[in-house]
Amino acid sequence: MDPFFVWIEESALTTFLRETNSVFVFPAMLVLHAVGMALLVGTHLVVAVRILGLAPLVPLSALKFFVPVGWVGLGVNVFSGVLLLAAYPTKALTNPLFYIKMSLVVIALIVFTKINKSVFCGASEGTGGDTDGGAATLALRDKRMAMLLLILWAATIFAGRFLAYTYTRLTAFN
Amino acid sequence: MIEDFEMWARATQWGEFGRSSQWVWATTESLHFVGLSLLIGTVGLFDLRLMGMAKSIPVAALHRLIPLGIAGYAVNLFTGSLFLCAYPDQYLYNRAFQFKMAFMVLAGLNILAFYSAGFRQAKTVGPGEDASLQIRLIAAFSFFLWFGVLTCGRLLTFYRP
Repeated sequence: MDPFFVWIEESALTTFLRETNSVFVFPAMLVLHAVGMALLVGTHLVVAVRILGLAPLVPLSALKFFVPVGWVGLGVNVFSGVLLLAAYPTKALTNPLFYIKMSLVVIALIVFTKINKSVFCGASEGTGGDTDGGAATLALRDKRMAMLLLILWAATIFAGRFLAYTYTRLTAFN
Repeated sequence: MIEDFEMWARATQWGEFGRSSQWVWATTESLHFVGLSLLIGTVGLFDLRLMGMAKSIPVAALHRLIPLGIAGYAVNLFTGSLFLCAYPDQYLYNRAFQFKMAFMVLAGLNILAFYSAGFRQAKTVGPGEDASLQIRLIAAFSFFLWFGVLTCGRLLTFYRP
């Protein structure tokens, strides 16, 4: 793998990302990654707790209008995440925790997509009324998925933060 | 006065606990991120609704989510106090931290403005209805300020004194 890491780390873009001493380059990517996380996890969290029975007065079917906010967050994090990875490929790709984090993200997104289909696309007939999407009409399966989604995103956040403390190599050169 | 606080904070057992292991630190940071997701997920979506997104949700209904945001805020006060007590000098004299606190004070004042001036009216904004211009401005300001808090928080490490 080392020649591959060296190849990425020697490129002009990733050298720029790593070595530019400006708060608008590498730190900005970290800020974007936190902003995207807040939008993505925050939105999914609200949908999940509503499915679990909190705030039953919020019409569930109307929450679907906030789903795109989560996708914007995902877009921001794919963008910032790819650049963070490109800047320090050795650091991430030699750490098993990185692969765990990526798996958690993929599973969380699959779980949310299933929730999205079942709760927003399947059951809701009217849009925005108070009568549809009530807690009673939610299947136990949806509640289990919502619980799983919360656990997966919390685990992703822990995995992401712990990446800063568990890497063994920073770049291919050391 | 700041020095007194700094000495006092550093000497607390809470601060000592924060310095005890990097795993304590990493776990507390992770919880701080979970707390901010709770806060921004609820307050941010509430702000977006007031600004005109997802209008089919009545404002009063979405307001029911706010206690969850307050819970996230409480988690972050608790976890944030560990960072501050462990290494007070790293925060008190850090420009990013000072800006973060300023953003939080402004966000607090903005919340006061919302509940004193607009909430009674905002509560009545039903499905499909727009909030008043004043409420929309307060909501936009809130959205901006909380992301300002988040940005300064993430940049803390680059402004260490």
